[in-house]
Amino acid sequence: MYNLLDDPSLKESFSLVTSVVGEVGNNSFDHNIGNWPDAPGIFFGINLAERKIILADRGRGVLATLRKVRADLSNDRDALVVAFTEMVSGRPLEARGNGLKYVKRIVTHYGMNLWFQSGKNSVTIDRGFSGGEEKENMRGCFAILDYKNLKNI
Amino acid sequence: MIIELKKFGTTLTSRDSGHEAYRAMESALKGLKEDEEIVLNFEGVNTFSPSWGDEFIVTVVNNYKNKVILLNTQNRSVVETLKLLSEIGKIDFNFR
Repeated sequence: MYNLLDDPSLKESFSLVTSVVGEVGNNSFDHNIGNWPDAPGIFFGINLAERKIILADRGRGVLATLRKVRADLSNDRDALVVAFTEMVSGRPLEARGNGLKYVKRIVTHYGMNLWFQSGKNSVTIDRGFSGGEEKENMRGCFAILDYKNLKNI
Repeated sequence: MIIELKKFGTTLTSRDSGHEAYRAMESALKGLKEDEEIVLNFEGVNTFSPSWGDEFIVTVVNNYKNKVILLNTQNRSVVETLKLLSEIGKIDFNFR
């Protein structure tokens, strides 16, 4: 079994990779429990050579989740921006909503790159934050974390 | 009272497990003496994230305020998570 702790270049910062993956992966379960449209659970893949981690689920997606608390949201693009930049949770009455803000901060500050698609839109987080429209509609969420430039600050 | 967080696991990222961890400690915490402090020791924790921290650490601090001391917080994910939780919750953690 491969252990990120065994990689000397990740010695100081491996915990940031796993904490980011933990936050993204947990969201899949936290926001879809009891509501999975078809297949429950997440896909997890890691390419050690390319230093990329893939997470995907077939849940309700960011827009449907956030609409429960932000009825004004009308498209995937705006929902993604809110999810990563505002302190709002798709689980009303609970003090949540900090996970993706943490993800954005860590990815930006430590030189990683995250591409995250939900519905017809995606966001890319690196040193900046940008959005784009995708050709294919993606049920649920699809994320690729690239940590090859992870800084051992 | 010293709580060794590694006893809940070395990867502390799930909101559910943070919630369960607090519930597991709740009765012991209720028996805390008037002048007793709660030391949360992060030694041996490999990964820590806001979801777990929000359910456990923030709940303990909100309920026991200045009695809570954080120990061995050098791990990078611990540092970053506590920083975020402090900003969001406007909490001044006590470190030793």
